[in-house]
Amino acid sequence: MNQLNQYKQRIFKRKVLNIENTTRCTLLCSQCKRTTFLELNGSKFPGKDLTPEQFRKVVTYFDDITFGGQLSDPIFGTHFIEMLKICREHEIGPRVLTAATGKKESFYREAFEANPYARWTFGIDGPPELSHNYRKNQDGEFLFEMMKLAKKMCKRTTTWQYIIFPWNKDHLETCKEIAVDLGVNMEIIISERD
Amino acid sequence: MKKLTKEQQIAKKAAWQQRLVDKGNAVKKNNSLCPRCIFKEQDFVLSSEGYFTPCCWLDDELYRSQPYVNDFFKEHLNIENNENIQDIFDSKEWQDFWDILLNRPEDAPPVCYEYCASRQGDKEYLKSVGNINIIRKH
Repeated sequence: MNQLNQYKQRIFKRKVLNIENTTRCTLLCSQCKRTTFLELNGSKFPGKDLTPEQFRKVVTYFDDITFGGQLSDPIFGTHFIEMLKICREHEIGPRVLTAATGKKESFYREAFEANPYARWTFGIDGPPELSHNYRKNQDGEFLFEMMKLAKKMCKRTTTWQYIIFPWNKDHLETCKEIAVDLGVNMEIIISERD
Repeated sequence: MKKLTKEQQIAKKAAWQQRLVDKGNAVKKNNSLCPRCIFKEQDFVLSSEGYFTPCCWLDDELYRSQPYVNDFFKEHLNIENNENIQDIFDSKEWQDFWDILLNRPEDAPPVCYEYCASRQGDKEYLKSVGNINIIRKH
């Protein structure tokens, strides 16, 4: 059997699927593909919210799911909470990568209850009150509270993702201590994006 | 964010796309391909437009002008038009792409070289201590 056939036999069921479940985001991070798209196209994004029917097709095919919007933030998906519930039905604790704000605390509570096995990662670059330096429009302090709530309500790892910038590098050690105190994982990113 | 005129947008996009082609081709000169969609744990992507790609880079519209990339966005490969996901991956477009990566890597689009010419890929774990991970993203 050649390598291609071997790969065909592996199929992709064991793969992780990263889903763009919506087109919406409230942030305008300068290095995000979304910001580039808006600058170069000046129009709204193509596509629409993924439906539960479409989601059921993929959740029965792939072993693991990441809600990690490349152009959007998953929390704004119309059916996001229902999708979390569908994951739970299929014993999947999906990864959720979020950085945007604009939803109320009650939304997060509902989401955490919908699937307590979800693994949430919160993009907060630096001390919460400074994070909006890069994450334009973000309410970092609110999101920090939601991260703490996730840690309290979810049964699996909660992660604080921290991209290092010149303006937040001096706060890194303090934030690491805070992460340890809170019991959340910290993912420190040294980015080389153009 | 800068507001550009339509003409500026078109010119800037074309220049950007060319820059990415040049970047990938420059890497290609001195490196061989190690596609992580095949050999490593690389997430597949389902876009909000309903199309699958083997990675998030191929989903980026700035790469769609490169050879073979646009093939993933043909109407019949849309999730709306397929009850069984496996049918999409069994399609000629997907099978041809694997064939290129495995058997004719010299034909692979520059984006593949840009991100998958190195075994360490686009990110490397520099240090892990307890619950703290330090990652370099290229």
